[in-house]
Amino acid sequence: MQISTKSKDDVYIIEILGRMDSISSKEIEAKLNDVIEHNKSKIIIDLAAVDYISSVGLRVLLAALKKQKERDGSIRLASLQPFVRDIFKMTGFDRIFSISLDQEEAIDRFNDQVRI
Amino acid sequence: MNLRKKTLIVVGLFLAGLILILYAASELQLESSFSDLEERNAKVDVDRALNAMSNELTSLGDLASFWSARDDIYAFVTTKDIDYINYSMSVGSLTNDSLNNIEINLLLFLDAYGQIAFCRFLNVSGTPEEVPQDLIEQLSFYGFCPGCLDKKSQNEGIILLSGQPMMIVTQPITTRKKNSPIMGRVVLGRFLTEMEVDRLSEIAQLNLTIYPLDEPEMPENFRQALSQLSYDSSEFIVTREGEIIAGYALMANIYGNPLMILGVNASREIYRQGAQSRESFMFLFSAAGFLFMILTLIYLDRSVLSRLANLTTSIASIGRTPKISALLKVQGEDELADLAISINDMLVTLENAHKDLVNSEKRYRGVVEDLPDLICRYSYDGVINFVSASFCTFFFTGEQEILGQKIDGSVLQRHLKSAQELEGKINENYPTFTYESQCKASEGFRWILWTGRGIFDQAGSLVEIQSVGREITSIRKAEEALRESEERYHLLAENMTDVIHLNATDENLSFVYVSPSIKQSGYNPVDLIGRSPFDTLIESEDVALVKSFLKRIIDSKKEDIIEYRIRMIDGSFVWVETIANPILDEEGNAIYIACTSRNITERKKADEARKKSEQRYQLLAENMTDVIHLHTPDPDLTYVYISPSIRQAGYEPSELIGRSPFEKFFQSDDKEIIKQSLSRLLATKGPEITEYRVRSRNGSCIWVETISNPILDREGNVIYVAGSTRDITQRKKAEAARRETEERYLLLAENMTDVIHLHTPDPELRFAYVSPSIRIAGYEPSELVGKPAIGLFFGPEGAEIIRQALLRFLETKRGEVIEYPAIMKDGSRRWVETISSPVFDREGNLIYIANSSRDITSRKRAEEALRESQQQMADIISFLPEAIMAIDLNGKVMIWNQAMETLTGVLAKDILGKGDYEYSLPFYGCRRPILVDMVLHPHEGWEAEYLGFKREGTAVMGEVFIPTFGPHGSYLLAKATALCDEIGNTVGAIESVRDMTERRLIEQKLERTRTELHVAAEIQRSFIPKTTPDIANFEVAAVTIPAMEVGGDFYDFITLPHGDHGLVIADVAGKSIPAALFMALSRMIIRASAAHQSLATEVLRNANNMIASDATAGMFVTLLFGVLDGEALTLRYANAGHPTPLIFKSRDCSFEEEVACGIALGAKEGVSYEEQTIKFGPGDVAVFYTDGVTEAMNTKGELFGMKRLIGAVSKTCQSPAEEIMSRILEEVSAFREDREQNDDITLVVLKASPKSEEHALFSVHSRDEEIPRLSQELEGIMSRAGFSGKQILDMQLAVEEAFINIIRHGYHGAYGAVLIAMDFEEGRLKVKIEDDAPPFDPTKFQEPDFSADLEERPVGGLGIHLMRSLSDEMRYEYENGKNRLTLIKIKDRPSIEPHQEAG
Repeated sequence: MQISTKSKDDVYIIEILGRMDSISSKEIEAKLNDVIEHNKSKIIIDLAAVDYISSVGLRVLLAALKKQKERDGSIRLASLQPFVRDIFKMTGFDRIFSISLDQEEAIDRFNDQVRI
Repeated sequence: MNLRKKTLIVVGLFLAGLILILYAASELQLESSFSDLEERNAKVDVDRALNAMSNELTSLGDLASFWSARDDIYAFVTTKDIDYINYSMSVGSLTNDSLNNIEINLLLFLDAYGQIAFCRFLNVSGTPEEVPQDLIEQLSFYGFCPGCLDKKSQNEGIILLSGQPMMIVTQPITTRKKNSPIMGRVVLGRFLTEMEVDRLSEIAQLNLTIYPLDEPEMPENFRQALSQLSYDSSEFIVTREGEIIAGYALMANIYGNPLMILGVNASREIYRQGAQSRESFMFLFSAAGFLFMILTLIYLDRSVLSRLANLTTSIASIGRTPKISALLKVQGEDELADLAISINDMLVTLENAHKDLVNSEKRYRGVVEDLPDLICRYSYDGVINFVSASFCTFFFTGEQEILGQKIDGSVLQRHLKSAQELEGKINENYPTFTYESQCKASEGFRWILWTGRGIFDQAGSLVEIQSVGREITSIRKAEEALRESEERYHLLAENMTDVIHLNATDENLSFVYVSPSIKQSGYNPVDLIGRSPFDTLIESEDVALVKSFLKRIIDSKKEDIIEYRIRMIDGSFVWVETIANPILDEEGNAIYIACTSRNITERKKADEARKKSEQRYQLLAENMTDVIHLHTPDPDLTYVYISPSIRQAGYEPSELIGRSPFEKFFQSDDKEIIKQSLSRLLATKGPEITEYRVRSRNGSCIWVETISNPILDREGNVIYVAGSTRDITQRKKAEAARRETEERYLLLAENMTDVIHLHTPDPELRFAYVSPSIRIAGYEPSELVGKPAIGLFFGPEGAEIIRQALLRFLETKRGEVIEYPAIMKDGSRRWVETISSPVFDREGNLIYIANSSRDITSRKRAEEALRESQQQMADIISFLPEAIMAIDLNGKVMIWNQAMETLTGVLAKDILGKGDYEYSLPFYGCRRPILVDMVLHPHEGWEAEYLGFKREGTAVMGEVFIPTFGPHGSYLLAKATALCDEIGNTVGAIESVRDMTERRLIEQKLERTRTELHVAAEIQRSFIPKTTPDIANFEVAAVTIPAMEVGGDFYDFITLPHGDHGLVIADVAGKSIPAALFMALSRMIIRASAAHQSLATEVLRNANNMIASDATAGMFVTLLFGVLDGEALTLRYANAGHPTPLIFKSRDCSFEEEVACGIALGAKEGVSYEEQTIKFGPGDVAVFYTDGVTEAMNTKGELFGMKRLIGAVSKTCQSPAEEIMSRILEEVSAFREDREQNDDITLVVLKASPKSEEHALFSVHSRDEEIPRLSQELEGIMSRAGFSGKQILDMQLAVEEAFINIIRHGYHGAYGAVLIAMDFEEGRLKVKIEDDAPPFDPTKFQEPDFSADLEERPVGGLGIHLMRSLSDEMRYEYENGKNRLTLIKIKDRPSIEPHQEAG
């Protein structure tokens, strides 16, 4: 499991590679908390390289989203793979998170919001 | 007034009107009904009053009956014996008192004759009196009473007695028993006193008043009532006065005549009530109306007016803001909302239109701004509404500063003519007026040429002026310069100012100072200073003279005058008169000689001429300067004599005599004129005046006027021609200069941007003037003027063109447009169009060539490009392989290209321009319309001849078979279409003809071949196995798709002697029928070889030998033969040059390639083959293919390739063999796109059946770290069992969630053991998870609501939800202190679709 981050303008992008199971999610949680603490208001989590997610992984994402909402920030998920997408649908998470087809679209959405 | 006020007024008016109408109606209706009611009431009252009266009378009658039926009275009346009544009279009822008591005023007993037998009368106050006389009279008048007429009846009524009304009653007197005859009458009377009336009033509860009719003091209302009451009709009438209603009735006397009038007064209670209720009704109605009005207004205001107002405000605010697209807020769904929406739409459209407008305005403005012209637009009253950028620049102002300003009173007033000034000068037909203005700028005056254009409205009145100015300063300056130089020249010519010079007193008398006026002579003062005048100025002949003169001056030290000649720089001589003064130093020595020299040539010449004339020809004394010359009358006009004045022209008479002036004296141009003049002179023998030019010795041209006279001999023959010639150069020059100026100006004015250049008509075409616009060519005007244009500007080609033009000028005397390449200063050539006009003088001599030139290089290039492309097109048509012909509208052949020549054998030159269907002859042998004609006109009958005749727009096409055309007849496919010029007019039609004969024949042949092929393909198809064999533990899928109808690929399954299965895949080299036959052969040989042995290497070796020995040269087949062992899961195969099979491991779809080996069958005899073995694991896949798969090509020419093939299998290697094959075919066809399949495709997919049972059991700790191991184990078992990747992931997640659940909620993070058993059997995977934690049944767990929003979403429960959703079954039991959870996944169940909770 690897986590890489980058930022484009004011959008902070976290790319995760590997399975988001009970073990790896802890690492991701730590990283997300760190990012949120640093007041990154616009976060994109790119799940292009994640083909597996467990409920622990889902909780980590949910906790991050709640924290961001409290800070008036937002999180956008991108590039959900088929299995992950199914799990999101199954748990109703797809209606909680803003989900974009890919990273570019997610960035565009953020920019759209700015424009509006 | 706004809508709100209007609505208020309308509603108010409506309400008021309604109330008014209601009021009026109620007034009319209620009033009348109330009146009726009142009247009826009054009538009732009157009736009641009358009744009361009659009741009174009745009661009086009752009283009367007291007396009428008494025996004593009867006896008295009968007998008149008073005794009978004595008692009554004294104390009884007949006493006055008793009468008074019962209010009887009159009591009469009348006897049977009507005479009064007894009488009592009490006046009103009750005092007894005599019966009033009038009663007696009345009684006697009537013969007593009405009752007399009928003695029996009783009567009652009213009479007037002594002016007093009296109720009177009479009854017949009878015995008490009333059985006796009537013996008289009793009459009772009671005055109807006021008291009586009051009593009646009281009884009737009415206010009664009674008056006798003749009562003089009757009140007015009674009088009026009386006047309306007639005797015979209505008995009463009602009148009202204010609050009182009164009813009146006539009361008759006892005789039935009206006697009294009775009035009943009553207060108008009903009316008052009515009025009151009406008022309150009106009030209530008004109040309700008012309330309704208020409510209506409020509603209207809310729902319409305020919104309308908002809308208006919004629109107004949009109108104020520059941003049109600020849209209106749409509220509700009614018409106003629609209005807002449509306004919004309109605004959007408006904005778009505005944008377009702005853009087009920008474009337009851009065009306008780029113009160098000064553009200013202003209205009739002088307000400026547009200025161009160049205008602003010119006037050093900003656009914003000037817009909206008036031209009056500003700087512009001097420049621009106002509309008022222009009115009258322009009208609708001639809307422009040109004028000039000038202004002073830092660099001098600037001139502007304005063109004012009036803009008129429809009524034809001037509304606006658009002035376009062009700066013509440079032209003006050129003109000015020209004029100035002319003036200078003129001045010089007219007043040659004196030259002042100082000379030294040395030997050479060299110049110390020379005034600049020396320039007249062409010298420059600087050049002269320091030099001796003898070396420079003074004519050599006069040097000695001048020297001695100056010496004398120096010696004498006195002023003196001398005349001598000086040489001008051009070599001519000028006579000067010099006044010389010695300048002395202190010692009296002359140190300088100051001289003032004056040109006295004219005078001198005149003097000299005069002198000479005087000497020789006194005849000509007066015409001193004229040259007299005698010529022979022959065409050469040889000089016989010429006067010495010819010296003016620099000639000596001696050198001319005996020679012809035509040789060199006359300007060549003028020779013709002179000849004509001569011939006229010879013909008429009269004098001739001719103006022409002669060349002076120094080459300059002198205009002369010659008066020629013939000199006749005695016979009248011309023996000499005498001429007197005068120099008129000055005059001529002045004339020419003036005209030149005019012409230049004209040309300049007309073609400002063009380069204007004037040339002298000499062979070199020297520049006489060049406008500054020549700078675009890199030249400065100054460097060209005076220089020959040929070779400089015109260039060699231009020179030739211009020379020719020049010749034409002389012929036609008209200007023309010529084009030539001009040479720029940098040596480049540019095409120039020059409007060249000859400038002639008065005599029609060419004096200048005026040119206005324009750079047309780009146009020329475009033209050339066009010409080239036209040429190209012509070439293209000419050399097109397609036969093409075209006809014009008259049916004449315009185009007949080479291919057409070849096709028809008719040459273009023989047919071009021919009409009358000439062109159909080569085709049909007769004249008839062909397709090209059908473009222009329909030819119904002929069109049917064409196969597939079609008309598309202006094009027609069709095919025809002409049996007579060509050796065996020809199929010709023709297409014809209209030819149009640039503007779209049809100018003809063009047809292309293609000989389709060959193709049609081939097609026919092909059709036959195709049938044969079809049969072959059918045979071949029968070779391909219809079904795949049932092989134990293997799934097989195979397909072959031929690229053509007959392919070279095949596969085969052969049942071998020992029950094994043979697999063949092969690709025969070559295509079509030979390949098909070879394929059939190979298949048969393989089958034959495999029939008696099952070693693949041997089968191939035998087959190869057989094929190689038999095969036609070059035929070979790549073939793979393998033997499948279902038990051992192996394929032992030998490969004869066929692509090696691709092997994929089921676990991870990883690809393993086999080793390539072997030579194709039939290539070489005696070859042996190596055996290869593929060992299949459960679920492993082997793909056999022919190169038609990997070499499938797409439209870009790329090959499908191994990579894509491997990729296609990798994605689906878990799927059944059939699916893998379909996937490959799909990808190949998707890759190929529209490209046709270029080679046969054959695929055989072998898949070892996945395992049917797997078992694993292991124990793990309750630690997260065990999860990867669990997942790995699960994946291994599931992939071996042939589960899909998605199913594996599902199960991994379900198991992980279950495990995590045990760790977190079962052991609560404490250390514990978890036993996990995974069993796959009968297509189901069961994962049993056992732990020792306290019992917990996840199947009983109530699922939380996952549709909740972020905030309310439960944190727990996700895991159990996922376990339940992702597994196909979940069971729980608690046994022996252990939780046992079983998750089941069924292999063949379709994958779980995530179900979305409603929402």
